[in-house]
Amino acid sequence: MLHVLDFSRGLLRSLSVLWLCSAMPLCFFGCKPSGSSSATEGPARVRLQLNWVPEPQFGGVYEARRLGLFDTKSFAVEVRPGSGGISTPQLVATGEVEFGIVGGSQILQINQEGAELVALFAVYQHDPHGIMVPNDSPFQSIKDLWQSSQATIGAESSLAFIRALNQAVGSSERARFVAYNLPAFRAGRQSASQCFVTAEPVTLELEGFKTRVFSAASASGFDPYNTVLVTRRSYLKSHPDLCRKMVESFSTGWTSYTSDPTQTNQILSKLNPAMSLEAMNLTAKRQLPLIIDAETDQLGIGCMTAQRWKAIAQKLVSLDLLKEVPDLEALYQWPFNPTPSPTTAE
Amino acid sequence: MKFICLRFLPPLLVALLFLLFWEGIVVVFEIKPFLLPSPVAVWEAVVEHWDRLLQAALRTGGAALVGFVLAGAVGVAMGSLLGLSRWLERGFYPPTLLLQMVPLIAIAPLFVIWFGFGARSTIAATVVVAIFPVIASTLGGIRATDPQLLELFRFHHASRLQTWWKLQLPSASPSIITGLRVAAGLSIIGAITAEFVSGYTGESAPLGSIIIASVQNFQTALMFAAVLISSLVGFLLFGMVNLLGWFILHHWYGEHS
Repeated sequence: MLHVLDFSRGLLRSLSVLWLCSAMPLCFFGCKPSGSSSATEGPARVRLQLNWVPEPQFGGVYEARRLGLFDTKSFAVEVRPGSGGISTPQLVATGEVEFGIVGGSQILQINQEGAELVALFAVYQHDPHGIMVPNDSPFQSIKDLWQSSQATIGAESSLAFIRALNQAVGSSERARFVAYNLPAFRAGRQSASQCFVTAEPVTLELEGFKTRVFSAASASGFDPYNTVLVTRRSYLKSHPDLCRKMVESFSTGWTSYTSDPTQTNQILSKLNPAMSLEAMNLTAKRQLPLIIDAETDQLGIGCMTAQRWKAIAQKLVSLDLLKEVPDLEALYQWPFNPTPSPTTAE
Repeated sequence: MKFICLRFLPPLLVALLFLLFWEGIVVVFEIKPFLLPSPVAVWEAVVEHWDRLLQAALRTGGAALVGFVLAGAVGVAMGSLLGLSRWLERGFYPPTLLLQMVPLIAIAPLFVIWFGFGARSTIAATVVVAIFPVIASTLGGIRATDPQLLELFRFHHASRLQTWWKLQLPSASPSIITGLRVAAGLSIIGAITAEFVSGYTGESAPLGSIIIASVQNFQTALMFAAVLISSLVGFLLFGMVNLLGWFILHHWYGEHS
């Protein structure tokens, strides 16, 4: 079978290149150069793509904007809110935006498929994923849920953290996994649902629906970084100063937001009316242990270490989501110290 | 032989040219797999995940077929009823039209609450998406019945049911078949969309859930493979309707249909 595939691959490629070369001149009449921006006076404009709607998960970003760090004489940042239909890693990888916020595992997974993302700043030092159950649920742990034939769990079972849970607490052959659907969970159609421990449980609690939350990282030991600032490797090489400014803005913004989120939360609640100010404040409080820990006290907010990245990559390999542990040197920048480029240095 | 060449050669040639163009684009522009996998990579994904994709196709295809049959039956019945009375048409047609305008992705989560996860929600969503073209085409066909023939049936004191069964339904059948063809294509779209929010995940995943999971894990080749299989399921359903249409028209209109 493999021989047939190899043969067909070779034949198809040869024929297609021949055919495409003959059609190529036609294409050039309709094509325009892409990706290049002309040098203009004024600040360097960059785009930062979030992977979800404005909420405290991006509090430091909006704090940096509020403090004017994203609108200086030399540096202007357009913050683009995300949604369920936007794939931020792909937008950054294709150069559609210069910076993006993605999950730690996603960086490794998409790089394996040919992208070249570099992590610059890890907001969440610990994985915010969890499994929530209604407060009166008979299930007392993730293991209880996983081993019950009565459990219907709203979670995408191919995601890394669910696979890690399968590996840690035993196969989930008995429980039924269904698509993530918060209204269905609220209506009692699901025994449990995946969540961000800082998001869905807070919203539901304020609606009067109390839940209990089990941390996925605690149950599985798989604890990847999350809400990670990334850029393309080529962009980091060509624009190290802009990347440095972005990292510094993040550092200042997150330091300020974690000490007092009240003003920025008011801005966030206007940008995202679906989430109340009360929910914003509660979320900001609950996410603190995910952002600040002993390691950030020592290395600085947003820090990353080779040891942690190696552990994340090794786990993804064991979960069949990664073929091998990649070159960690090229994967992240911390402390931020890339080779300066004479063309962009100020 | 000549028939086979005329019938199958043009689409095969177009498909081959398309695959060559696609492969060429990927090779010449060195497009990364996460953006656009090559046709060979998609084929490899089909081979590697064949068992899973086949099971998923059976689940999705089954739900789409049941939804389509329900939409067809209810649609023809409703279209006929509306066609028999202007009063009913004025009362019921606007809400039916409104049903068609509701974005499925917005109401699909509600189907889960009403019907639960899995096939029942998928079938319900498929009916909602596919029913309108059947109602509209049946109504249009019934209204287009030759007035002179209607007069003849009245002259012979035929009952409403007799007129509908012997005259209006056969007269509307070409229009109904056209509506069913449209509904067949929409059924698979409705089923896949519903599965995004109502499908099982993991081993029992239907095609919609596999598409979502592969997008989240950047398995673009697998996503294309699942989309390809979805299209084939839709194509199969469309073919079945065409065959059914041929039998019906052949039966009522003879060999020149």
